[in-house]
Amino acid sequence: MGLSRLFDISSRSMATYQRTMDVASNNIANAANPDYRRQRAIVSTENTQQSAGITWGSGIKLDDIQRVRSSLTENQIINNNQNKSFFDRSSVLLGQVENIYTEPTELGISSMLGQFFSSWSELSANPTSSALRGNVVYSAQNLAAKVNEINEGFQIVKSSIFYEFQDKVQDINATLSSLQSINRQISEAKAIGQNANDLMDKRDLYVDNLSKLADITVNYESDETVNISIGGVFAVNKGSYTTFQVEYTEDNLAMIAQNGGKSVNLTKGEMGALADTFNNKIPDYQAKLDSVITQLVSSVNEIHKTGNDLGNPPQLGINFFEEYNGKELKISSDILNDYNKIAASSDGTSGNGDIAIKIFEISEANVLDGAKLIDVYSSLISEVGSQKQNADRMNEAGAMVLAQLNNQKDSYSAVSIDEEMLNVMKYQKAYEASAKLIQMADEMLDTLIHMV
Amino acid sequence: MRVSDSMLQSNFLSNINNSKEKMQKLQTQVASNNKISNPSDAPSGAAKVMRFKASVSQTKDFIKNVDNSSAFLQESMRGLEYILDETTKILIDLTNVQNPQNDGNLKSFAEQIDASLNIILESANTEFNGQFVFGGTDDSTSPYGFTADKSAIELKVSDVSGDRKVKISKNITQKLNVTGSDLFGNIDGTDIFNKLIEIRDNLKNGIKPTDDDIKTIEDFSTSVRNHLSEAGNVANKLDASKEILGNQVLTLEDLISKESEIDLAAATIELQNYDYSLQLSYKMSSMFLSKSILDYI
Repeated sequence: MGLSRLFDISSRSMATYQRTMDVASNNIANAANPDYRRQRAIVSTENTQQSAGITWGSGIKLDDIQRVRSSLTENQIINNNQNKSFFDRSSVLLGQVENIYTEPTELGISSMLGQFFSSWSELSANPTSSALRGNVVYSAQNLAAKVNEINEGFQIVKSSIFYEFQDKVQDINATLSSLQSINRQISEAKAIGQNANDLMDKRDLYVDNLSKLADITVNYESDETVNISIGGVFAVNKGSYTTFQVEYTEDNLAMIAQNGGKSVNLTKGEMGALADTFNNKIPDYQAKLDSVITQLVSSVNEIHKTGNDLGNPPQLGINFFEEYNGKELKISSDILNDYNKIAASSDGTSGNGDIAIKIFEISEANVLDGAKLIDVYSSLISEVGSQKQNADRMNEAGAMVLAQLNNQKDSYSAVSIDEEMLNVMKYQKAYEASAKLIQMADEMLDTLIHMV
Repeated sequence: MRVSDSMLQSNFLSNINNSKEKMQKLQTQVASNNKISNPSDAPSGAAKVMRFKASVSQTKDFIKNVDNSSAFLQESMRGLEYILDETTKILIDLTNVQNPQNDGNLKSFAEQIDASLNIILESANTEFNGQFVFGGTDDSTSPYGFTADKSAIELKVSDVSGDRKVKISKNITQKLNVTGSDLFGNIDGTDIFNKLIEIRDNLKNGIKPTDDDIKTIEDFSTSVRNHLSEAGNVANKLDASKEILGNQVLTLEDLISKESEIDLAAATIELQNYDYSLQLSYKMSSMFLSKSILDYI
């Protein structure tokens, strides 16, 4: 056993601690990088040597640089991302829909409907008044304008959803392409025993982003590559990826695999929220609004047709509204051209306002599914509000769960400057001690040489 | 538990955001004095507010109808009072005519009756806001007038029997007018107008009115008095309805206020609490986030 062992052990030790300092400094450099998982230098004792029947320690060696990651927590984050993003996006979209109604202000349908019926009440007291006849038409025009504005609003929201959906499908395609490329790089690196920590960080970032967009299922392979399916359809592995495209009709928005592939079942993530709002919520709200307006048109016209206008001779059978097609509420052109065509009289005399009273009475009659129009409409608004409120609350709850999970993840994977600095100090001392050992070995060698 | 730097940062940020978010909501509510800006702020509350507002609007319509109807009734009652006054004068004249001392003044009585007839005719055509109060529901022209040769009075419209109805509450549709047919009967020569013309013309010719003539006028006077009383009753009913409706509006507006308006005192205190938490968070973050082991080695 010679003095040279001291040099060997010390130089190996210095090299090892230099590498561990590298790892610590890389961690410190990435302390503010949210996508970075801290790395840990795994060191162990060097293989021992046998000499003269004694086992001699050979110092330290660097085995590996590991990425510190809690797969359980990160899988939970991926799952929760999908739910949280769904409600987050739903909340925004439902907020847009909710704003279209402008309830419960004076500019909403509830107020316009009230003004419309009020105008008939006033007309009933003085049916010959041209000002009051004008008032009936203006209030009906205001109501029609609001109904049409809401219908247009639905179309605008649907159109913006469509474009956003299209952009997100492009995002998904780009992400899948990148993931496949990273998968391949990871696989190649692993095959030749290289460290792929930074690539895996990048891969996890893509998976994280993808989980915010749609319902994904992630499987980690033994070579650290990922196999992902979206809504039950294969999306990516290390060998290939699927390109998706938008399938669009006026009533349905879907994502399908290109070239006639399967349709993706979108129930989570931002894409799920977009599809749900487009395919289910808006059509449901529109159908309910349509039922109120269709009933209003039918009830008013039914009574109005039995009334006499102010003409000489009085004329029967005039519709007040044109047939409602679910898109545009219009007042009959006859009435718009001549307010005297408003039929307020039941017996043809000009001062009779019985028909106006009957039309006013629609406001308090249970004409739609055993309820008043205002009750059905306010239930619709309440439903829109409840769904938005539910999305807000679920989003809030999801954010809290995610914050907890991210805390857990950070507790495990994020960099602590204090910890790294202490490591640096520890490694530095070890390095200095190793250097001192070399100096001492050198002195010992010097002493030996001077003896000769 | 291992605490990383990003955990501290995200916790502080999350706390600060929470405080700010709640403060922003409270500030909006305080500034607008309204806790329901959108249905999602309180879905069932928003629906209630909409229903209450619809009821307020409807009740205000009823109040407006009551106000208009009251004015219409006042005008009707004024017309009836004029008619009653003139009928009373005529009855006095007809009593005086019977006195033999007035035999030489029959033409003068005829002139007085003619004057009263014109006033009754004018009252019969009383107009309010484009509506003839005794003309049924036909507002096309004054309902009563002289024939072309001025010898008699005739109906100028086809019908004066139409009821003017107005809705003064959810369940009450009130008849408002005294119809011409109820008040003056059929204009067929035996009516009050033509009876007065007949008496006037007889007086001009030196013929005194008969007991039947006087009875006809007396009956008419009684009928006018009854209609006046009836109109007064309707006016009282309208006043009572208005009071009830006014109270309903107050109750509904109180409910709307409770449902949608904010408790300013509570909101202000809550706002101060959040402000306090926010400032504390800032203070804490400035104390801890800037520190690391680097400050001590």
